[in-house]
Amino acid sequence: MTDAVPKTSSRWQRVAYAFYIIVAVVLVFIIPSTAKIVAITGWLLVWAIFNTWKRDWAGCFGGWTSFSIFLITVLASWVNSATMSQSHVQDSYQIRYAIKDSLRSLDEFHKEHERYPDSLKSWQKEFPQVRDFAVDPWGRSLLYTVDHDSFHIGSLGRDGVSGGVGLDTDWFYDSTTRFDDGPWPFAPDMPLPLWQFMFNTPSSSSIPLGAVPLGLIAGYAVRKESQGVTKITRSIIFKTGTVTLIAAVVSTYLAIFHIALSQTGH
Amino acid sequence: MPFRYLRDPVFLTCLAAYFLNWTLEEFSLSPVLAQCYLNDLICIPFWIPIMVCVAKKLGWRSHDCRPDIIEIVIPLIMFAAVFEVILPSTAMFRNRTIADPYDVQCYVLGAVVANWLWRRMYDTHTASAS
Repeated sequence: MTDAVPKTSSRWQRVAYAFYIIVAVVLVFIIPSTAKIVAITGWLLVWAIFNTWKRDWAGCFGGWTSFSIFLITVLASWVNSATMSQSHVQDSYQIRYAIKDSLRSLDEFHKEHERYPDSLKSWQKEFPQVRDFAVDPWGRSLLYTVDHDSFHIGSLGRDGVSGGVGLDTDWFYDSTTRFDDGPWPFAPDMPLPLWQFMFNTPSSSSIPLGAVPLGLIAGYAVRKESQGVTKITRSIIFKTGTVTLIAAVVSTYLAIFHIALSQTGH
Repeated sequence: MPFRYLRDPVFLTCLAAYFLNWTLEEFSLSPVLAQCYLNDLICIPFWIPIMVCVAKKLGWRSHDCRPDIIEIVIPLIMFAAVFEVILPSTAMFRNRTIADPYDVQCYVLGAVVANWLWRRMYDTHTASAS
């Protein structure tokens, strides 16, 4: 804002801003994960709208910056868990492979003894390595039940109780409906995680710990450097337009050339 | 002190860091943390000097001051939204990009640090010169 007239913020503005930061930081620590995201998003949005309504342009720019950073972080987390290799898909694959390895081991057991093991304990006694692979993504041993020449093996999902959706889905293999060909016809396709599932996972619920302080610091820097802005001038609008245009060109270049060559996807 | 654009020390440091990391990656010597987050960390201080240089050449920038807050925040928000939310949601880029919330935080951290460094380097010199 080089064309701005220098102006210091009034005392009430500083007090109000301190109150804004204290509430945002307190929200990070005291509210459970799902409600925390909603509360912080709401609080940052209210502050941005309030400053816009008051025509406090420094506070307005700072408020919208903090809100945008936090919102984009939350959306990135949502897209991540819905599409890529984080908790949801990883857990899904981990449990499939746990069952797949267990089936291989049960086949070996069956070949040697012409029956399936009576219990998980007797199976582990014969094949000690079962303890390593017959485990669900949440660290619990797979559940195994046998009835004559058929068996069930699987997991009750993240919640450890029967029923549920998303990561709480029950994953069970029933040997009577076994398919020897085809990849995994028995495995239920897990639905995309709901908001509450995503934010209840430890990695997702820790996001506000980083996003809120960084968003507030960025908002503070924007607010500080915008102190002298008393109105939205044509030069500010022109600058915003030109910077947006150049940033769009750079984004396109990076999407075409950099991402295609990137090995990590980051 | 006028902004040094493509000879700015912060930009040159980021450029060197990028090529060092790229070289290490070629020999599989780059740490995983650097592979995942270094480019995100240096993204803003690397691209902003190039962008303001282009704006200057096109006659869209009338001064040689350090990048101001609009020139930093708009690319920050755009890059974060495009690379961490929009592209990973599309079918074409879903398998090529990772929507990582920590990437967004790296962009922000890089922008905050770069802005602080530019303030110290260029504003201090201006103040002492006057």
